[in-house]
Amino acid sequence: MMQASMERRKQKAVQPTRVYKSPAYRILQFTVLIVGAIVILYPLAWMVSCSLKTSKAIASDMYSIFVPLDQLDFIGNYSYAWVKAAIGSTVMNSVKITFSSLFFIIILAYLTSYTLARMEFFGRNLLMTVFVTLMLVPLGQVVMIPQYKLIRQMGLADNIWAVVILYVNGGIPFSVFLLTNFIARIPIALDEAAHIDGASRWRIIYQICLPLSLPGLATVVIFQFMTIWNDYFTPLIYLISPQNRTITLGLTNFFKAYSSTNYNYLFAALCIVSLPVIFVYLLFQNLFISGITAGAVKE
Amino acid sequence: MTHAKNPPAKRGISRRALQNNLNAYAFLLPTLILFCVFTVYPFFNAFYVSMTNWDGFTQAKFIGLNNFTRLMGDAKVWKYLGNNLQFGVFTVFFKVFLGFMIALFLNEKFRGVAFFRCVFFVPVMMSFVAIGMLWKWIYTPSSGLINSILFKLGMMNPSKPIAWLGDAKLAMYCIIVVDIWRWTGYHVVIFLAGLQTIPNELYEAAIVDGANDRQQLRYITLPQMYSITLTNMVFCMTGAVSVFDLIYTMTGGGPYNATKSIAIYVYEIAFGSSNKFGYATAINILLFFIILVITTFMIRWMNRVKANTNS
Repeated sequence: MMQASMERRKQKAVQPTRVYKSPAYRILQFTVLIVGAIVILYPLAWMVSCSLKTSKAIASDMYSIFVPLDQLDFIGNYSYAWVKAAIGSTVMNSVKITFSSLFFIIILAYLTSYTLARMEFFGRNLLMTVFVTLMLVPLGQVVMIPQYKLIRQMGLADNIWAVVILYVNGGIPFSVFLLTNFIARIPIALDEAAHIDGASRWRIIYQICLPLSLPGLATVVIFQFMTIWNDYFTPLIYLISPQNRTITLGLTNFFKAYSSTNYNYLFAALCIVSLPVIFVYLLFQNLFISGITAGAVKE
Repeated sequence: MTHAKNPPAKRGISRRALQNNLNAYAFLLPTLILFCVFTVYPFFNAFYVSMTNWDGFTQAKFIGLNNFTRLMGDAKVWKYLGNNLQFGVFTVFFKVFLGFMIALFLNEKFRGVAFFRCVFFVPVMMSFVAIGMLWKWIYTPSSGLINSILFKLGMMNPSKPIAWLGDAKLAMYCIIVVDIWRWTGYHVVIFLAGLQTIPNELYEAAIVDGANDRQQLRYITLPQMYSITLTNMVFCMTGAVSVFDLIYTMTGGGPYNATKSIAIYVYEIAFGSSNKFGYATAINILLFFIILVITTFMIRWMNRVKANTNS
């Protein structure tokens, strides 16, 4: 048997190592991919096109993704959604909440990850185990009401800072897990060299290790940005007054008020909410991919 | 690093080790405080809250296991958990199956592969609220995208439009389709990363031994992807236990509670017309244990698979 395979190896070695697949496989492959892409893109294209036309044009040709030039009402739809439907002010709240949360997540997650990756201390393994377990067994559901009770006792109900605190708290396990693995792969020799040259611990942390951790931090930022920007449940519970509404709450309220008529405004609002995230994704695709795979694919 | 190598000092711990510990905990302090206050304390507090009748206004009274005995007899809890199960079975199967298949199709170089890899991930970026609304429009009986197309193709009588989300039998399946639409790209990415860790030599050796495509898939790709498949399934399952956003925006649990998930029920109990926080927490604890059991079972399974493939 060994010999037979050796002979075959000789024969094969002459052929170029190109992947050959049967025509049937190729047909199946491209059918699935093309149909899949259409199923994903058509509704999105439809959403964008409906946000650009007048409601009359939408009603006359419901499934079309073409925009007749004389029915184009881009400015009217978007300005209505932004101002009259108050999507603009909810965008501001979401921006405020998202960026404050990201700021604190970066600082806390970076310090914690540096400590976990670079320092020896009592309880290190325990802490790491806790963070990994929290990624696998989400506690969001079980701590929901005790957290609500706590926030109310602290007098932070209906305050956007309550939401920020909870996002920072919720984002830490995943961010620390990802960053600790990232920092652990940076050669420790750099730290040691700086230490021998007389650099203090703080200097090593922000002048040596921080610049090298930037790709890892970027992944954390992008990932948490998506999670926080899109979150619905936390604001739904905590933010009651209209001036505190986030973008997802604003959207549901708008939807309730306009569900029977004026589709065009609604689609404009949907685009205002969705397109920034899609745009961020298209810019930083690789960071997303590494964020997802870091949590799931462990060698 | 240091305290492990040092000979046992007089007081049991060296000064350097102590200094290292103090430094480390100084850096960890902010995170640990936040974490203890907003995760650890609420977690243990949940068990206490579940044994009270706290309603948010009056003083909470300790009522022992009453909430749990009530939970056992609450037919709604089991009915809605059944909805979660229906949702879970279909979404786990299709997300993992389609995710794997598409990842396989995208795991080679051809013109346009980057385009497809990018497209499948786009819905993952979008908020479930936006997705829910978009699809609610797509499913609208009178003028929605699907019914307009069916009508145009002559496959539907315009006087009897299909109600989709308004039909108690169809509504859950409509939501399942949207969930699959949203998440498949996520699983494609994980599977693709997994496929790329399979050493190329395995395939080369198989080709040398005369294995065809199907045999390569059966004897190399599938066994190597076993543990990643299980990881993907854990994600889908824990997601299915706590599904809320999508169903809440699309149907709110209707029609006739046909799509109500347990998380929506908990939300209604706690933040709806009544504020039965104690009872809601009891249900949340049940959900926590369901997730715990699923994850433990899957990890055990995964470790067994790993032990088998390594030996």
